[in-house]
Amino acid sequence: MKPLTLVNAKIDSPELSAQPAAVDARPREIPAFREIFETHAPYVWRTLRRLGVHDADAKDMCQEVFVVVHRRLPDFEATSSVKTWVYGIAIRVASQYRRRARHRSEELSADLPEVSVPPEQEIDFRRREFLGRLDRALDRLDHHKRSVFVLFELEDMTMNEVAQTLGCPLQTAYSRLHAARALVREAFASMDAPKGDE
Amino acid sequence: MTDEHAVVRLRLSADSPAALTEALELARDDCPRAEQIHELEAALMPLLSGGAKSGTTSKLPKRPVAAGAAFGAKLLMAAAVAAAAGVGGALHHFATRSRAVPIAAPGGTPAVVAAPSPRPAEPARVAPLDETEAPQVPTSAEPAAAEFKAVARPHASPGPSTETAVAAAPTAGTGEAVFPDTTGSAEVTLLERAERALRADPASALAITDEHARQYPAGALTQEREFVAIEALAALGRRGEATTRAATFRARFPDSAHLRRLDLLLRPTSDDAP
Repeated sequence: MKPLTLVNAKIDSPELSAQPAAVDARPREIPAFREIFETHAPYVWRTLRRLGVHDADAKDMCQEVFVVVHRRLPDFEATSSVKTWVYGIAIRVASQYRRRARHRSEELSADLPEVSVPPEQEIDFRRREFLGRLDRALDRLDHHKRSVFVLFELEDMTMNEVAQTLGCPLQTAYSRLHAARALVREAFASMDAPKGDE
Repeated sequence: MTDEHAVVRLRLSADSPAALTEALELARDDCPRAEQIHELEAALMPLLSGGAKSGTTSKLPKRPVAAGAAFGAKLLMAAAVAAAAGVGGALHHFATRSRAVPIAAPGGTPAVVAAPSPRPAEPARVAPLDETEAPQVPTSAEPAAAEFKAVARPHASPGPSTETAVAAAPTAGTGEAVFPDTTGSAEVTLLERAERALRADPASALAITDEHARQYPAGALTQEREFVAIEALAALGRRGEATTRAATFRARFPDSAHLRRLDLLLRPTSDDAP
């Protein structure tokens, strides 16, 4: 388990200070940190994974996200939604992670390790196979498109929420979604059918 | 116009490859295990216990997070939204028994409703739903995508230029009118509720599709609704009805991209793995 001080040291960057654009002008009650954590942690984790954070690093990166959330909570503008704010932080943490990882090695884009599994774990195997496919498809996308795709297709955000999370115009979010979908579809089309899918 | 902008999520879309649909479904279920969340919680304990209104022990679930407590509140929110759309009974049933499927993205705050929740000591309260957020009016410095559906992109160009290439419309400044955000529209939302309920509670999923058929007899998502309904029937073991309904589907939509998936779904062995 990583001490918090270490985590704190590497996330104090200007990029993390950039707030996503927020346009909803209605004031909201700022929830307590624990409430934010409990509401969002599983989804932030899931999002980080699909944004290319390796399973072994997911906990640490999720921890980074919530350390930033905690530190910035006093400055949180209650004019934006907590959800888009938290996800915005997660998107930036994942972006930094991938940049760091690119220096390290190719390991991120490497396939999930092929592990032979006993038959009773077939469901898990199947899960890994499909998730591996999805991740390989997502690896073809740049971070912007990947973020839009994940937020819309997996986190079920509306496109307005996606644009707010990423701090980009709505049209841009649509453009990115469109491009991302085409690339993901194509990636799946170019992979052979995984099952008796004649 | 409406059809074009009612952007359906890929896992609901008629022409998504089956493998992609399945991968997206699995990715939505790919939440951390309970022990992973508890490790995370332990790492953050100095922050979690420092909060003004905490200091209590964890409210996080002791069982796998994908079946965890936080989802209860979100299901209730789903029920609240759907009840507003007239689904009340069916979704209430859904909300009170479905536990296995993670619900969507987390809403800003859980809403209302005095229904059983697995979350201990969670006070009921009314909070604005995120779906009601005012649409964002973009200041279009970046290009806009005019036609959303039809352009196929070569995968050789995943770079930043792709967006520019896609963009075509001189719609700067009028973005809101050109791009009404219908992704949270009632019809889409309702169908997504049904789709989400499929695994945990196909009976509720079926009820929601019935409600969808009543509300949107000529809706933009008729094929998708029928597909979900047939999946629900199959999941309930009502294969005869599923087959009959699939035949009707085939007659009505002879060119549908869902047909192949229906064939797979209704093959003699329900497991379509070889």
